[in-house]
Amino acid sequence: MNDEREAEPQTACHPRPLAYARGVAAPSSPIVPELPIIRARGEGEQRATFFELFFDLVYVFAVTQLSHHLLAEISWSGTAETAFMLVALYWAWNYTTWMTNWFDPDTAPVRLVLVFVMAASLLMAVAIPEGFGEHALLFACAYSGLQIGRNAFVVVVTPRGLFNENFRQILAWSVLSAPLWVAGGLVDTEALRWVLWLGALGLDLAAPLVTYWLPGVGATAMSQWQIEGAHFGERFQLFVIIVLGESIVLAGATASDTGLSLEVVAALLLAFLSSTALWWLYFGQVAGRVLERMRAATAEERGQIGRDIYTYLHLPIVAGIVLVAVGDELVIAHPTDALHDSGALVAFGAPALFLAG
Amino acid sequence: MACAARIGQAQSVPRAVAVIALLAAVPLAADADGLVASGVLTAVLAALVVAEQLRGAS
Repeated sequence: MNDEREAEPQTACHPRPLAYARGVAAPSSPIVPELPIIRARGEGEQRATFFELFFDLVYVFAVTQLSHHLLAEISWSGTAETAFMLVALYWAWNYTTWMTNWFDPDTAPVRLVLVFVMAASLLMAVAIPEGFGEHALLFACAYSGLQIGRNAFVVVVTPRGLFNENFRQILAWSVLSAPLWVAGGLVDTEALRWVLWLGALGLDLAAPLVTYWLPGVGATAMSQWQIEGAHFGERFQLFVIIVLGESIVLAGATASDTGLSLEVVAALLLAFLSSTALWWLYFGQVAGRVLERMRAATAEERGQIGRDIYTYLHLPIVAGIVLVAVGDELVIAHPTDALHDSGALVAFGAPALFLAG
Repeated sequence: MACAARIGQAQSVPRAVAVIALLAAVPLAADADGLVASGVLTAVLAALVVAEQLRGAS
């Protein structure tokens, strides 16, 4: 890859007119460099690869860990910790999805990067139960390491040009937040950890909003965020499936552990019907219409829609489903007990959050 | 709802009503049995699915 970059330093990016911009998949991109590890864009809409599905399995475990963390302590503190770690995990997954929209996971270098991200995500996931305790440093280092490592890979393997400059700025933002992550993992005071980590995650969340603006360099133009809409939408839909799947696993496992009394079986079936309704409400309405809008968008709009709808606005959808799973577990484990304030807030607030997304 | 707003799509009235109803039901659900609350929640979501299917078909 580097050899190719050196051989063709100026011609690796091929400026082309934006004639493909509306309605159909791009045959080639004027921004994305043509390299063997870049997805071929002239062969119709791209699909998620089997390796990306394998990649997601780590996040199945991570989501399960999050649900269990909240179940262990249903309080404002436990909810805040769970929400924070959910956003961090989602952010790691989301950035990797942007990357694999351009880079082909069926090539060995990209696959190895994804293996690295998976391993780091696995470390984040195992750290979750003590993510704000004794494993805070592990959680922070795994997160920062995967963000910096993945972005650095793109900077190294792509030739100089707009795409490379974009990723230099993305990498710079990752490096900027890393000291806050690590410092937050090192401190002993919980309040100070919250301050440092909220600053770190705030930087990471704000970066796409300010289009990776850097002093002296400026922002990256949205017209340069050229994504392949079908693949991008499919990946986020698969993440929703992961979270819905986890809700069914949690409900089934809880029923099995609790004992299959009539009340427990009834609660299990109601939980299953709720998950089915959530699937229907998302895939029957939201997913298809967003994808239609994505297909009809210009190249520049596609990047904006990708950022706004998938990167940001899928967060309440995902968080809502995770909380629904927790609410289901509470009911299945104690079907004839009162929910109390916290349980009611989770059970009814969660679907409201999902619907608001 | 936020996704619909971002792509310039008209808001679904049943969805908005469901959000308000669910949030308003939180205090009532606190004293209810889990099974009863779960039944109400499932009924609301199922009704919303039906309402949106009908809305989509019309």
